[in-house]
Amino acid sequence: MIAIKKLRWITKFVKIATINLFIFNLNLYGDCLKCHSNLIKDSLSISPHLLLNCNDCHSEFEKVPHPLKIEKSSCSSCHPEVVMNFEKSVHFNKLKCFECHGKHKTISFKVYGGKILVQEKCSSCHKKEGEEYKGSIHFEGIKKGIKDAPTCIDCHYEHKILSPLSPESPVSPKKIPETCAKCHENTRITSLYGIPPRRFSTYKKSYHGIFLYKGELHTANCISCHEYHKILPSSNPESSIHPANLTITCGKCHKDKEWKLKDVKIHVEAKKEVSFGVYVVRVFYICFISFLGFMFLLHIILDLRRRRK
Amino acid sequence: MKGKRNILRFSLNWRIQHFLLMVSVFLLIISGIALRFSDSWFGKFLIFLEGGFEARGALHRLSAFLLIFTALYHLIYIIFTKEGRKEFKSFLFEKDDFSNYFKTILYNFGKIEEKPKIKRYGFKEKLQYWVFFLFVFLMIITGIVMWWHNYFLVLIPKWLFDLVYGIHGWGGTLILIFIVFWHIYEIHLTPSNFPINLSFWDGYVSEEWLKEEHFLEYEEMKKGEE
Repeated sequence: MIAIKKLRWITKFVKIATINLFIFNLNLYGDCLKCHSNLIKDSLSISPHLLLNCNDCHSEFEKVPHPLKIEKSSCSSCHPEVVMNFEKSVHFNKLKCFECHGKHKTISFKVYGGKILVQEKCSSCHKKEGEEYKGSIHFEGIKKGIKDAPTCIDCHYEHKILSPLSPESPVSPKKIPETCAKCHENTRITSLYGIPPRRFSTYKKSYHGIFLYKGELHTANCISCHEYHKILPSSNPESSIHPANLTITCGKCHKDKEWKLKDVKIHVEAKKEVSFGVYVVRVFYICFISFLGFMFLLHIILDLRRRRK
Repeated sequence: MKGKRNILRFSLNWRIQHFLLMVSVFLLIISGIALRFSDSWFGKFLIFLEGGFEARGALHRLSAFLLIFTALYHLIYIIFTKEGRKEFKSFLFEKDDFSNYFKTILYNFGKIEEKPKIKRYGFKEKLQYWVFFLFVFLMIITGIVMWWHNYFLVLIPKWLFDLVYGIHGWGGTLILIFIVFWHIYEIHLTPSNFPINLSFWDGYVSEEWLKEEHFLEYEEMKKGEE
């Protein structure tokens, strides 16, 4: 793995160096180079916007030195869909594109290490959430370089970031189970990283799940028990679903109840190894019902056959 | 049913109990199965018929009350009334029931010519009665645990609660199978009753029917008349 990552960086470096050699010959930046050569060399050379002209983004001017304000907001001319999504988000009119993406050093967040960058960007404003997220198992995965581990934008959308109260938001009560299901119901991910499988379908069959999908939005969804950002496995003593903390977690809704919640299994598949009792009940009923059904049918057929004679 | 229905087979008390059981079990099944298949079009349609998800739950609980009332009524009936004790005794399994069962199979295959002679309640009725007796008891107990889960989760561990949930759901399926396959055939579709045996409503059966289906009961009745 490490060798591949190194190789990736080397090929990237070679690519950038080759392009760098041609920049000055292509004369993309015209007279701007005379003053802003550092800017272009340091920042723009690693950006995907390397081959754009200066006045693709900046307005043209006539005399030097030029006025300070020479921007024309034109991200939408190349990224119309992104801007359209962004216009629906809560950040619209509060943030500008460059506040997250940088002015000249616009690196794609999809490159290696980008997920950490995203987290850093978001937590520069959302400090509390950022701190909570940093304590989660998801961030642990990102630090290890696991590409499937989710960062902020994997749950909240990239540009169309909405309030959790908006029904369209992927973190709204009705949609959050499906958002988590993208990974926790995905057999490839659950088997590759050894995390418990089928978290969504088992939830959907539980009391809370049935209630949620019948429109009772006040019922518990994933984050009600697993925390908003500080999501941890039950084995971690800090986790909200650690056996010692369950009384507090369930008590958020079920107040004043001293439930027997030690060693409980919540929304698990009733397999032989996990919950033997429920498995036995199911097998017994299936056998018994099939047997009865078969005997009834047999009796009915024989009875009718005899009566016809 | 052939012939004039002129023999009173079921008392009013018996018929009231049957009617209460019929109504409550029917409502419980349609509201229960709506929840069990709430994902499919079938469940959604049932929920729509029952007036929404909340109303479905209310209907299930309401008819559960009716069933609990019926069960208590029946217990009082079989313990404290003379008629009830007599009826209950004739529901107890005997040796004859097993031999009659095999005889019926042989008769249906044409191996023996004579139809087995059945008492007031044969193996079919007894099986039906006891399965209902057992499962209504189970469903009431598990249903009460689930109804007041906030209190019962203090008393019982979660794994037992999961077990209760499984028993209740599958128990409903079993009773449904019983009613669909067995009761509907025996009461409606079997040629001697087709299209319906109305004795559940007014208690009367015809002499020919009684002679054919419950010969020993017929004989006893004739003896009593003499």
